[in-house]
Amino acid sequence: MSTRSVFEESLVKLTGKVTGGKKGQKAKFVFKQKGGAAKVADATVDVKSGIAEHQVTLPKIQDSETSYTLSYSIEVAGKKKAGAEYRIFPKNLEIDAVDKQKKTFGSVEFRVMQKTGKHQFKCDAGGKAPIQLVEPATFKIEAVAPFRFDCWVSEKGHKRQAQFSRAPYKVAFHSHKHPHHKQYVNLAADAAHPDRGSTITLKVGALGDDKHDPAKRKAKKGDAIYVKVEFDAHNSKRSSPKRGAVGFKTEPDGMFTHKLTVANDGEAVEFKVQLGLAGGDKCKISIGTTDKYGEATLQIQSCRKLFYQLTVPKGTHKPDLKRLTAALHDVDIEYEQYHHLDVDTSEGPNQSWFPGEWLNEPGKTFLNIGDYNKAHFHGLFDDKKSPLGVHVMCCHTQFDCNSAQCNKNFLGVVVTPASTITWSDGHKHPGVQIYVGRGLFPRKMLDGTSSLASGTWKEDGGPQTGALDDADLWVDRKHALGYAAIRLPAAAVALVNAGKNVKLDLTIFCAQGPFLGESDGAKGWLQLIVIKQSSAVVNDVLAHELGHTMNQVTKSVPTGMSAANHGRKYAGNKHQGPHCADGMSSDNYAAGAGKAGTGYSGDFTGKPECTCIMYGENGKGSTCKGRYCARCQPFLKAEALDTLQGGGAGGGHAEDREARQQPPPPRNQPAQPAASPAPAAALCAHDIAVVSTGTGPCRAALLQCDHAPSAGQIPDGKSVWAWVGDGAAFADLRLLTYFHGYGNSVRISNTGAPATAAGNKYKLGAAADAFQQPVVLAPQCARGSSEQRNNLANGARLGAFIDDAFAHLECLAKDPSCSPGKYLSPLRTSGDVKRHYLTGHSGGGKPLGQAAVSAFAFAKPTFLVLLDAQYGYFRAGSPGTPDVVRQFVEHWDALGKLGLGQDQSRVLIVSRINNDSGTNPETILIRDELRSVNLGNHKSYTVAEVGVPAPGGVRARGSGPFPASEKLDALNALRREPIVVVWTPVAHDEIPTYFIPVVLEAG
Amino acid sequence: MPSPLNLSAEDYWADFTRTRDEFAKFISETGFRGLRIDGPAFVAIDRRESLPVVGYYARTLREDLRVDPEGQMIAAAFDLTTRQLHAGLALDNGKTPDRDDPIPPGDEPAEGLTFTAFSSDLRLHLDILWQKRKLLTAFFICEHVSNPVLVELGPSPAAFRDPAVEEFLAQQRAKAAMVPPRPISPEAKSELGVTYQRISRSPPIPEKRGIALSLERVVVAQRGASCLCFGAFRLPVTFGDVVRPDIESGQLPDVGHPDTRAVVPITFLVTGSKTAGPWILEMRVPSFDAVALPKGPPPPPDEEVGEVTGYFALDLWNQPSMPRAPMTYFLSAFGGGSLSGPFQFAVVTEQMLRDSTT
Repeated sequence: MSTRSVFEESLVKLTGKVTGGKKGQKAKFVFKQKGGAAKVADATVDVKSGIAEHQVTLPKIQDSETSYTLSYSIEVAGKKKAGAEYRIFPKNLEIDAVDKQKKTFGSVEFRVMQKTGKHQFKCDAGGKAPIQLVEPATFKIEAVAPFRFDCWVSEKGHKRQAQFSRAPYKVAFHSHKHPHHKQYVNLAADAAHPDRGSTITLKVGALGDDKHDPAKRKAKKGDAIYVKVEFDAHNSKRSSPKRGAVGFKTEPDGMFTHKLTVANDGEAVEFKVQLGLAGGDKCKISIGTTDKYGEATLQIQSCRKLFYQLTVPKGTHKPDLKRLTAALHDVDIEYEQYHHLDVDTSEGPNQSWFPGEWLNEPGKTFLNIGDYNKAHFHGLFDDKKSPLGVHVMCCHTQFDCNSAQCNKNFLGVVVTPASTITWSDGHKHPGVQIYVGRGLFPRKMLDGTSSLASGTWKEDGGPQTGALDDADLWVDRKHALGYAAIRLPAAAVALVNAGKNVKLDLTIFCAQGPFLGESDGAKGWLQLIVIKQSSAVVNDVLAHELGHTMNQVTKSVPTGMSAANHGRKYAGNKHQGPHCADGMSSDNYAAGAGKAGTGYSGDFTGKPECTCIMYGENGKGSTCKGRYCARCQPFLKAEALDTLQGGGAGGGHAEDREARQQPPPPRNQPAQPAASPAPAAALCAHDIAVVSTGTGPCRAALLQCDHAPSAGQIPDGKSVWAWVGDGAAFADLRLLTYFHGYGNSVRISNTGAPATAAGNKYKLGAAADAFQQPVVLAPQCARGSSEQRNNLANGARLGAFIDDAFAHLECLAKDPSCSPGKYLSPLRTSGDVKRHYLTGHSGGGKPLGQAAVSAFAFAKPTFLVLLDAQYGYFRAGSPGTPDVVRQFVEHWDALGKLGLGQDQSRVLIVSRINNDSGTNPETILIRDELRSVNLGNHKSYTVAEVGVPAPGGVRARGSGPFPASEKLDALNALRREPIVVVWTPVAHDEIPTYFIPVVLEAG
Repeated sequence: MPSPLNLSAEDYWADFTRTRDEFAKFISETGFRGLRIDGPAFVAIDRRESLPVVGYYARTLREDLRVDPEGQMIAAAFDLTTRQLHAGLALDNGKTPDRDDPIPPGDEPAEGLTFTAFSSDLRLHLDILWQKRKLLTAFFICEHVSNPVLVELGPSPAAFRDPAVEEFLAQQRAKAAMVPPRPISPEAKSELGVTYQRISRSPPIPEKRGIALSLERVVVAQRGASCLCFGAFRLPVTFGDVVRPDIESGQLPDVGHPDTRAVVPITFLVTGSKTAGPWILEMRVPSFDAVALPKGPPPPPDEEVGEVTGYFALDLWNQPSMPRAPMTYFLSAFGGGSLSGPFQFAVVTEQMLRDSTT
């Protein structure tokens, strides 16, 4: 007879067949039991239809046993029939973990093994772990590394005590021995130099295993190593590439955790952390054999390194660059000299070297570099570190000699009988002293020939004439800097001695300058520095030029940053290019324009309170503190310095490259969606491509974007209607973003239906195909006021959404009925967008208002379009600040980029007349705010208007065609002015259909 | 007709000083002081990448001691298409000058003149859009204003042309008659010192096209002070400047004054003797003169349709961005393709007043 295994407290139905019995016959169940907390009582039952049946609930086991047995027999009319035998096991147990000293051992993990499998449990801090057996059977336990199961202390009853010990090792970093590590995130990743690259690879394992023979190593296959990665809350706001640990679980507050597993005995485990590209970011990595993580810690700080070749005139002390390197250290940049070159007087064309007498330092020889010879000297640059190398070319002076201005002409200079000069011999001679300029030398700086290019004299009112030559010119730079002394030749002297005047016609060469140094235009890594000046100025000029080469001040803005946050950037104001006015009062700064009616208006020169390196001037008397100011530092730290040759767009380029080179997940570890990039196919698995016979054939698509503005906030919030036309110019990528109004949905099927989907309804695709060929993104927005949310497209959200949508379009293949290919290939990012049409209609004004002052709208040339969406969504965020349209306008105007060009930004506001849509009041407020110089505004902007808010006799239309004249009116205004308000009779719901083509046509 | 410096079309990009001796002769004969510029009448934007305007700056030896052309010469280009004025330093090379060593005073300057040649790429310096357009260019330094030079940007004759597109665009332009002129600016308000009526201090209307200005020659920068400017003009108007009734409603657009017949853009460019500026003031001034529009289909908005006159008076110090620092200022006025000025005024401080009386 077989024994059946069951759990205690099970209800068991016992039956027995009784043959030949009589009606009303009884049967008795007689139980035989070995163990158990209670006895099962015998029972007598009626026999029904020849069957005796009885149910019993099996008692629990005793605490002194692991199981017990129960059997029974049925007695009928003196006959006994044997029944089944049962072995009863407990179902719910509690494991009490103790150590060798029988003390409580908390947090122990172990597995319960039965025939059908293993199930893992973890003890609480008190060492208790309730378990439930899956099978009514015996079981074994095994500990999860680093714990080890030693033995049972008590293996019976419901509460069993097990003795565990912990693996006899701690974990340690095998790849990084020092607790503090510096990672050069701007240098290309290199297996031979693990401290390079923004992704750091780390190895962890049992302490000492990296030194021991394999046989002595402690780590065992399956051992767990817990890792916690924490990014400092004060790290840069740069958001691309996103900091994280690949394959880790994302925790709140910039923390990532993961439990790694040793793959084979004695092996270390590898994992990767993306540190981002910013400098000075801190990351703390803690590891342990438990989730306490406390066994080893590694502090990582990101840093950048740039290199320079120092080329110095031979015999000249190389400049001390401590001040420069300190300034760069502030922004986590190390400036490393990798090559030194001395140049001697045999180097260079023509008059590159000139005698020291010219600078009143006889016996020396000096090097001048200017527009006529700098190409030669920059040709000495051994650019081994491209694109991170800088040529610091030192010279004693910088004078240019090639411009037409170098020849200074003099006509009719009168020498009277009373005019005398002191000549080089100390005697007075008839002649004249003439101011020429600082670039006047005894000989031409250009080629060493005479500085007197030509000269004649003539008798005033008489016939005598004659020539002047080099012997008649004396240049005394010590006592008369900039002046030429012209001595009359004998024949002319005779005339003045006779009481007559003599007139001179002269052409004298005067080099342009002197200058303090330069970075060479678009080739900013080629730098000249004049070293015959104070060390502080040398350092500050070099740091200033290097700052420009690193895209300062906010020439490009890394993703996640906003140029508006700098607060003191300015362009022009008598300085060339964008600079920093840190130290200037807000009143005088006046949004970068300079306080009207004062010496600051349009003129930021000579402002001693401006002490940042990136202020627009330097030199003797400078108040520069030799540091990048606190306003500039975050931008410098956030800059992706993976190239100095990016032509002014380093930040964006670096982001693009990084985005396309996501590191692979670590060995042995499954990728987790939380922190690792989803496989390409998975990214667009739920996207829909429209078939070749559908609406928007092969062009329209429906994307499901995690970073869509409303994702996770409203139903269907991830949906984005997209359009990529055949003519989309990928080399000159344009983007139209459209936020629809209430009552709309963007969802479409693979046939492109329904016609009412916002992209179809407003004919966005047709408009895009007709003009400019932008990629179109229309995300799902609120369908009513109850769905309106905050934080839809502000800050970095808009850029993140665009990156996400582009990634989907690069992932999504066109429907098989179309020509093969992806919607957007190769991968594009928000950084690739050359022009952005940022539009919103009606209730879409809410996300539009946020997007208008987003990082992306401040970074890319943007055509901001408000389509009857002025329902209070554009109000200032706080008292005293202008509305978002004015903020947008001021931002671009401060950059000198408010205008009609393709690389400029502009605004169109459309409002239905007679306040039929209720948008007139805010439109008027926006218009008047733009025009106002009150309320703290420092500049009035011209706002062109087409029509008037309430034209007499004109009614708003219910619907109907868009009259050509109205369209042309709007177009003409847009062709004239960067800020246009159109008062239109067009029906509210037809405004997008009619005005988006106008926007795209106007450019 | 020879160009102002007798240069060929290619000289602007080559040796523009080829005719320097001719200019020297001109100076010798006339005693000319100031700026003389020249520029290409037409720049093919598909063939050229720069817009050089070249010239000479002639001054006395005394002036030469106080003037810094690199830091003070202003280039301006008035876009006749958009009516926008672009202005900036003409000779700024972006390098940091070293002014450590002071220039010694030297002897009393002799009689005589000096002149230097210069070339300025206006595309680079003024960020001119490289599109089809007409520019009225001029240079300014202290009290000197150069001769204006008209430069046209456009595709070269050899560039591909599609007659159908050109005809289409011409038709579209012809239809673009309905945009009303932008409103008068600044708004006529007595409390702001702005009026467009003839007043006693208004200068007479110029006999030829241009702008006449009358400015208080010296003003004191003190609380409540004004810097009054009285003007009169005779300028051409385009069809787009004319206030016309709406075709559908028959109503006149509201441009700020019901009697306005045309709104004329006038732009002031102000430079200074110590600080070059420039400061720019854009105005749209009404004319109450009737304009006889041509019969037939409406012409393109930028087509000249007549000549109008008018007056304006305003307090410059009530306008944003107008300077008040003590120095002498030079005001030039662009309007209707003409350049008038410079008109000179000076600002003194109360301290200077006190110093002069002690």
